[in-house]
Amino acid sequence: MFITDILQYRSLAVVGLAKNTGKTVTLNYILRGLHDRKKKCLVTSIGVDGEQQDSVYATSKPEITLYEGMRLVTSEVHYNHRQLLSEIVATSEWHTAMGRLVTANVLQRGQVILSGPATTERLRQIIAAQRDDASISCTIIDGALSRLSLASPTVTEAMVLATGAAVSPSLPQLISKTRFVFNLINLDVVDSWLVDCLSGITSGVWAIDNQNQLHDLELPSVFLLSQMGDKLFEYGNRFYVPGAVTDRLLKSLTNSRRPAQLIVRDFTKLFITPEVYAAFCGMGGSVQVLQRSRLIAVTLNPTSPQGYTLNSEKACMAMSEALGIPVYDVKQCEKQD
Amino acid sequence: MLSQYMKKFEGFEYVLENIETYSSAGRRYKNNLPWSADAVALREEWLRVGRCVRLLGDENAKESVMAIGHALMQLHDIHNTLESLRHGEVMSEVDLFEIKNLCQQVACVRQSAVALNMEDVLSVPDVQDVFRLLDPDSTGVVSFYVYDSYDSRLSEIRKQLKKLRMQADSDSSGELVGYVAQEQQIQAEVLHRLSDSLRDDAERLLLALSQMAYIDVLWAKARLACDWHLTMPLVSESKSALRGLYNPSLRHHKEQQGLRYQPVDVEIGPGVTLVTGTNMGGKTVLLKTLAVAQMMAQYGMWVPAESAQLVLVDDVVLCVGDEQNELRGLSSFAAEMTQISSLISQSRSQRLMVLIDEPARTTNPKEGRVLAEAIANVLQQRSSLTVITTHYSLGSVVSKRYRVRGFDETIGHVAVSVQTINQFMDYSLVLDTVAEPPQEAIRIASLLGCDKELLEMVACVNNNR
Repeated sequence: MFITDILQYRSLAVVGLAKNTGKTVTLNYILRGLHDRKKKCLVTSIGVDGEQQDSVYATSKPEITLYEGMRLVTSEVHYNHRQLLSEIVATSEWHTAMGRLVTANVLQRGQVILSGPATTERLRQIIAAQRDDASISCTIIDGALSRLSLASPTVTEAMVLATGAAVSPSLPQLISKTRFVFNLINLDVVDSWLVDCLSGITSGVWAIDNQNQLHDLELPSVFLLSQMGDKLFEYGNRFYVPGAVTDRLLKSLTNSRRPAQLIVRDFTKLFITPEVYAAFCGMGGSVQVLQRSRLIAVTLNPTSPQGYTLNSEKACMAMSEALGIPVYDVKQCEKQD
Repeated sequence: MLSQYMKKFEGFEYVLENIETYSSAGRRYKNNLPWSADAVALREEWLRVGRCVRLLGDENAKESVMAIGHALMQLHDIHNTLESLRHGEVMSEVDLFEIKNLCQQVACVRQSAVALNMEDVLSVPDVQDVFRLLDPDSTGVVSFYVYDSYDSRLSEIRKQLKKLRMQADSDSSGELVGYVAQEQQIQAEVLHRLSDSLRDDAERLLLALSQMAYIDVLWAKARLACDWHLTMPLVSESKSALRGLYNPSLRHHKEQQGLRYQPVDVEIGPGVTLVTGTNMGGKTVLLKTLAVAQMMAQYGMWVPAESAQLVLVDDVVLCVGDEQNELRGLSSFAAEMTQISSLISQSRSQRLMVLIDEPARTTNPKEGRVLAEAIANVLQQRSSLTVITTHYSLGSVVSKRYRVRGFDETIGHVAVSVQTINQFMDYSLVLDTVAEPPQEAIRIASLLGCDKELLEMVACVNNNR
């Protein structure tokens, strides 16, 4: 369904909102779709998926299916336990806890456990290396649970978000929780001149005045924001925080009772809860980003691990309506395909 | 053998840091550089560096030189893998890929060596037979898996597997599992077989890897020689003579600040060379520089001078009152005496380069002078090359006396101050015949603008003498 959209991007992260939201099913669906369209891609992950406890010991069953012509990057331990035919084309010289990283071309389809580099920096290097290889149309990254950070637009251009009944068995709750993350992913991007201006700044808290001049507020820690009082607004109400933004920071801005305009690097820097964000917005506050990931699709797994099942069609429709983009139950899609 | 602690001395660490290898195997080799006092071996190594230096400046050689660099960058340090191969372990696919990669990079270096007419210098054992074993289909590409051609049964099993995986329905899953098990069984057999037949090649592969590491360091030495304008030393039996000697780290540091660096000419022979001279005259730097140059030479590098002939020694002993000993809880005097005592006994059986900065300076001048003179007298009897700096007027009969020319108001173009006084220093060495060291401390103190009251008192005390 959304496979053709993926092909417009060089890199994609598949991220689950919670355990058992069907991330692996979604990833497999995407990989099969790409294979059917005869597109070659490189597949890896950030670290090991925590969802598979046993995968660290390579005792769990490989779940990701790769097809002829695809390329994979995984750790030595998992490479040795793969259930597909593939040819090693490169290895990393450095070792992780699970051995060297192995890059291999798939010769015959089968299953593998992915355990790519554990840092976004190394991941970026892998993505960059594939850019020179014309035969690879896209790098796809299996996002480990609670590692939304890899969906950062600084790592991948696009993302697919997996949500489902595991987040909450109540449809309205599920929609509300998903919409919150969806809204953060889709925060407005600031004007391009501001992006140029702020991209190079990676720490501190900065104010931007009406003449668009930057002022370093010289806070040793953002936690001291609340103690600044009115001095905080000396240069106006626009702020740039390149580091992590927490509830505490938002609260101190809310408590100042002035509408603040907050600029962050991207949505992965926001570690905030819906209630606090709502209060901040209620005070007239707003958050903008320097860079936005393109959210290609949301997939919905109607079944929770406890066995509770939502009505797939109804749930997808309601979610789609709430988000304003198509929402798929990939298991249903597979049946239709 | 060079004392271990000398490698850690900052001036030489700077040199090592600037030997920029391409591979981690090269890095490992660099950290265990062989020290040599063998004139023939060293001369050969310096000549090898020289041949690389010439090629670095040769446009026609550029392509092959770059190919070697590229091969070294692709080189992985698989020493441990090869050791386990030698000890009978079964190689995994990843291990065999690494071995294949090593063979490929070795082939590349061998090919470039032929193109450069450098087979004698860049010699690596031929391991093409190993590559061929790991490339049964003769693709020539560095990639690896358990190829069908390794076992006649594989191709049929894989054909079946392919068919079953395409169907991928639950009915056939039992059959699939069976074939997967068979495939894995055969793959394991193949890996076993390959490891067995490679076992005897492990030594040669290890040698190839260490030669590649050596070649990496050799080119890095040559690049250093070009970048730093080093010179190829000559071996001498009678004396070390260095013209235009400089200290690399200090020179680069000064030049970065836009300051002038003055190289010096120095000759030292067996016995003791005394160096006297004003404070700030670069006496300690001279000792450290001599140590760096000697070490570079005996580690097979060219040296930081315009020309150099060197007496080879068994060990370099630098005694400049470092903090290491003080950390061990010894007073500076105790640390110094311990070190000097041990070097004197070492010098009975070995020819050393001994560099002592102001011996016995931390004790009372009367006894200090006696001690310094005794040290000089003992070392004068040895074949070791000793350089001692001192402010004492020593009556010892020594081989040579140098004096740092020192402060000269006519050199600098600015006012004399604590910041600028270095610009007024002439660091060159002149031969001295008198035992009396120059009396410049008071003059320099006044030039540095010391407190008036102090200076008046100095004049007063001096008159009373």
